[in-house]
Amino acid sequence: MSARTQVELAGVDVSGLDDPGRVLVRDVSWGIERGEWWAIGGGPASGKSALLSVAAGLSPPVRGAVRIFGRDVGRTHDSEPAVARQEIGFVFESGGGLLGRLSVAENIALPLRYHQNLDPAQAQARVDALLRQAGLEGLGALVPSQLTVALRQRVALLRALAVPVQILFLDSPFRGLAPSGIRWWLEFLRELRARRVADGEPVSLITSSYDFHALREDAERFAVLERERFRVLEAADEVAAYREDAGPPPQTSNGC
Amino acid sequence: MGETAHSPERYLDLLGYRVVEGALRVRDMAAFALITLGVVLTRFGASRRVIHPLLFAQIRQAGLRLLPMLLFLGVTVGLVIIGQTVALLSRVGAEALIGTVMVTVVMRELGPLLTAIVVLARAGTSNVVELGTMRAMGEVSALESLGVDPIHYLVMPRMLGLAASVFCLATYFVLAAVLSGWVFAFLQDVPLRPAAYFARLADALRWQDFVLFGLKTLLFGAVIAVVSCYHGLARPLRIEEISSVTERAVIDSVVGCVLLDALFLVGYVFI
Repeated sequence: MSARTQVELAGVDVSGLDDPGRVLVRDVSWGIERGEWWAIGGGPASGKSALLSVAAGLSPPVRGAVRIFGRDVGRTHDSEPAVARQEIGFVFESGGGLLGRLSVAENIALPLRYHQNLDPAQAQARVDALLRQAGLEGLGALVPSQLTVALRQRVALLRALAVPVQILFLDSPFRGLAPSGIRWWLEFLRELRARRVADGEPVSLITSSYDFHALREDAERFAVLERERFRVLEAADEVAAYREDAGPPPQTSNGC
Repeated sequence: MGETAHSPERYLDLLGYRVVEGALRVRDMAAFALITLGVVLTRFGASRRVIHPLLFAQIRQAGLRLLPMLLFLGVTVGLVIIGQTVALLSRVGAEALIGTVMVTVVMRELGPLLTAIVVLARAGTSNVVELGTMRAMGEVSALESLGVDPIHYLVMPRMLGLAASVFCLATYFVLAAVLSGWVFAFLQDVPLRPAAYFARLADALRWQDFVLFGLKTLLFGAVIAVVSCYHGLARPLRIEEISSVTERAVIDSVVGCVLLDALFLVGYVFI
């Protein structure tokens, strides 16, 4: 494990999030280095979400070792936080898991207020800056049910970025989006990376997707989940060829 | 010959399954309660600007909003009990026992239990539905991904809020019942002066009654909160399962409160 490795999976088996008894991916050995942009491809129910969840330290692996920032997630004492959660952002698919009872602004402010024990007014400046950055000014008072799925996912991205994360997991962020929506995400992520590099704090991005069509220009590393295996694609033609095999993603939500 | 659908063996299997399932659920709920207690003891003051408003919101929702209903119930119960017992005790010349009857029936038993059942119906069920929906919609996983402990953020405010609410509401219930009992007696021309009525109540009360009343009501609230939060949060849920889980939470909460009530009987025997 090099000094730049932030997440390392060794011989990991991953089970389904809804069905812990069913192993979806076997024997994953994977390392995420500081500042890398990974694209993880795979068909429906191939285990992309479950793999990202294990790599982010949110779910335990069926077998194998997961080390995050050099600490073994499974062997850490409960009294000691297993993972420095404030350094890992996770945007869930299909609406991002926003809290339905909180407004958009309250959702974004939650991690900031919880970890730094702030009043709503004290977190407001950061929330306003994030909303402005994403072009979502004026939406702060709405509740998630008043937003489209695509907008909810953008708010979930802002919530993940409210604290200075070092790794950002994005579970199928382009799913069901129109080309303009995909463009927004790519531009936002490019800008985020550039800003963080300029600040000397590069952020690692791990994005899952049905295919690599949108990510081919931006992601640096590619891997696919197929036939219960995790395979890193080293050659550019392998990446291009994978798109042909995967087929089009199912359309499940309205675009943005 | 194999077992038929209605064979005794099959019923025995079912009974055994239910017993084991119930025992495992009790164990899991006890573990959940201990984890919550640990969080309360170690992290009560952590993130207080986020957590304490949630606690006050629980007290507002499960306590303050139920106060008019509990006062109404207290007044009604006071009228019924005093109406029945005064008439009965007067016939046998045992009016002196009125204080004992009021303390035993209203303060020790009816007040705490009735309050707990009303709070369960109003706040316990809404807890299960709210938390179950959050679990099913992935909001609990999202909290974990943000480093927000769901026990600290979701369960602790409910446990403390419901415990405080049941205690306060039961106190108001008892006061309403005692006062309405005297008003009824006065209106019915029962020869019972206020001083004599309250003196008999005071004679029947011991300091242990106040301690056990406080303990009992706080524990009833905690039991309702732990059981409802356990059912809403402890395992992955689908939206369509929430109604059946709510039903189970109500049954488990009622059984838990009644069993706890029975345990307190032991305490009352010794005072």
